[in-house]
Amino acid sequence: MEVNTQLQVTKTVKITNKAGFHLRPMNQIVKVAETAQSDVTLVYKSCRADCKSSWDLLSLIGAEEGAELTLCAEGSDAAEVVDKIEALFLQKFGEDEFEKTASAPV
Amino acid sequence: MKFSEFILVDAIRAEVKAKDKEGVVREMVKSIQDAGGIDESDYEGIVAAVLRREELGSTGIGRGVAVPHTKHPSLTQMVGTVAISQEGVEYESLDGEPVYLFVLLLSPNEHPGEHLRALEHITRMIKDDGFCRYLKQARDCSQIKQLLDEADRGEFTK
Repeated sequence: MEVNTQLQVTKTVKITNKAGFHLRPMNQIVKVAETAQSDVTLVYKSCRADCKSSWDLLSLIGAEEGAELTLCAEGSDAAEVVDKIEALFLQKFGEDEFEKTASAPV
Repeated sequence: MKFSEFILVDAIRAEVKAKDKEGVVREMVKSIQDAGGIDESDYEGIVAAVLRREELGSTGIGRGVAVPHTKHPSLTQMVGTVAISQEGVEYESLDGEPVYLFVLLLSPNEHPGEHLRALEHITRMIKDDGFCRYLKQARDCSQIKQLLDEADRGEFTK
């Protein structure tokens, strides 16, 4: 993790849910990012997406389990919002239980 | 991934009649059944699965577009369809706007990677302003099919 005096925080986050990056993880990220004062972006390959815009984040759909994305935030609550979004990735976007059932809606 | 790999041409609808979310889902799943994509005995189960997925968060992604989808154990291959509502449907979209363009995707439980690739393809093409605008303006099934074919031939920018 890198923190500088401009309250800019950057972390690498990894997709650990089997279903990969689809609409539901996207919506969860938007909900968290919307509450932050900071600007928040996710970068994957050549795509940079504003985490407060679901339309922007659509560009990241298709990133598979194991993919690493760069999460950046800049603003007064940058560290806090990065921690919250990182937690979503670490918690597999709450899909652990779904992955145990054959009829999991994704 | 191409639309032709999962869209059932005979299930495309240019004028859905339903006025609400469940109605649209039912109409689209029925169109897939009528096109031979699913068995009649699986119809209710698949509708329920799509609606259950919607309860987890609307697939109305904004700008008048929704991508209802689910996996279901009865399916052996991905099937999908495109439908247009001329009047718009209240769909609890992320931007609160009515939905005019629907892309339904049904996938087997196996091969989650293919499901994700299809979703990726749909969302990438929907983000193409020209493709999305033309699709919403389509007034019959042949126009929709033509646009999907053009997309598959790479005639749009993304």
